[in-house]
Amino acid sequence: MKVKATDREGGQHEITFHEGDTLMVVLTDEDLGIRAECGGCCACATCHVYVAPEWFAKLPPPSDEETGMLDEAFEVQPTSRLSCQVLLTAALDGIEVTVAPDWD
Amino acid sequence: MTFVRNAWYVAGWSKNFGRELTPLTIMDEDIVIYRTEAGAAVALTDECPHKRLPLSKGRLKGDAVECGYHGLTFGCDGKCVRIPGQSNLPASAWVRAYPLHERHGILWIWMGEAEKADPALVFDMPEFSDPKWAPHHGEALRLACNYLPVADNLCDPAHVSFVHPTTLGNPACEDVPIDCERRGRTVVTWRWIRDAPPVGFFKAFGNFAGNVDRWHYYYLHAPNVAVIDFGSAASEEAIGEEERDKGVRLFALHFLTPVSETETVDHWMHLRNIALDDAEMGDRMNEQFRIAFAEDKEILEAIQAREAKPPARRPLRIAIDRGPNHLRRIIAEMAAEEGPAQAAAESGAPVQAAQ
Repeated sequence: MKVKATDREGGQHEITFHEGDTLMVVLTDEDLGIRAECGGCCACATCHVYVAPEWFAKLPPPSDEETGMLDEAFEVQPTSRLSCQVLLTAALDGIEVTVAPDWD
Repeated sequence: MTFVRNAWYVAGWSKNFGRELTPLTIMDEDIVIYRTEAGAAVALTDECPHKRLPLSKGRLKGDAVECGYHGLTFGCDGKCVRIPGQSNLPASAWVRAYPLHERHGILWIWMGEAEKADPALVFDMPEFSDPKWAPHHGEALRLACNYLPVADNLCDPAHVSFVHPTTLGNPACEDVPIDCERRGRTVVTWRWIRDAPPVGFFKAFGNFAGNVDRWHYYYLHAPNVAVIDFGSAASEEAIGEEERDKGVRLFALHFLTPVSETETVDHWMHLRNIALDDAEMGDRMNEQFRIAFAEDKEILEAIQAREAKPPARRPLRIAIDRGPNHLRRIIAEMAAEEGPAQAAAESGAPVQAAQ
């Protein structure tokens, strides 16, 4: 199963994932510049990604906590998510995401 | 920074107010508190609307306050009852009267819209009235720090290992993860440290021979009340998470009252389930709390001092920040809710004066 990720320079990556991985872990393993300062507990908003709309619609909606943290992310878009809160399953094989801009 | 006005705040311990005019400042509002001849507490704006002399510089005349400059006199409801030298009392001659409520030896003041001051919202917990618990007042700790970092500290069990090494924490819990949950307008953060040496506090009061299971549950009832349920039980008893009464259990309470953007008073006290009849136990425990809270004070004031400089970089956010993150969101929600109403509350005009 694969994630199709676009990095901040526009580079394309196909990254293998396993059922139950979080999207954040997959992206950090590939070293796409995700900071993930809090280690994946929805406390920092530094694993921000844009999910392609057709895939965004397939994700369970964000929790209030994630929505609250996203308020503190940069350049938030309608399909923004914190990747640590996206649990990957077989139904998400092929999910397309773009790493959101960093702030410095 | 953000104050939430529609909430009850601790003005002080009941014992500290009497038949004298006691000035204090809450959220930059100058307030004078006194008791009537019958003993009821009264809180008025501490400023005569004429020449702005603090009314606390005046004197009590029965249940009314007479300004020390020209004798304008204000009743318990804030309405002017006398202007020496003239007979008419204009509708604009009034000071704001704040709703108060007294319970368990604590005087609470409502800083927001008076009609929303529901005594049912005053913080309480059943243990205050339970003979199996002993409540004991502590002190009023003045902190040169905004109330929000103080509140952060009270939904942050992780700091105890590093800030309170001799009393409330020890290295055994440094790496134990913290659970966190938002429940309505309360942030709950907690963790258990199983089978570890007791911390200083429980060495002093628990009489434990070996290792203990220790818990910390921090409840931050936004915006200003913290309840810290903490205790220890001998590890061989292997108590369940809901069996905390079997151990030595305390509730440390903190009531935060913002004085200004850069100053906060923390009225702290505790309730305990041991040594109920030992009059000195409360004071001995307070000795330990005093040490611990002085350690918090040093940290929080140093943080506040840095607020004067703009941060050079975005602050790092780590896993333990979930609790404070929740708290800041709740406070922002509460402040946003009262946004338009806040201006009205601050004007404080009593309904009678509007006629």
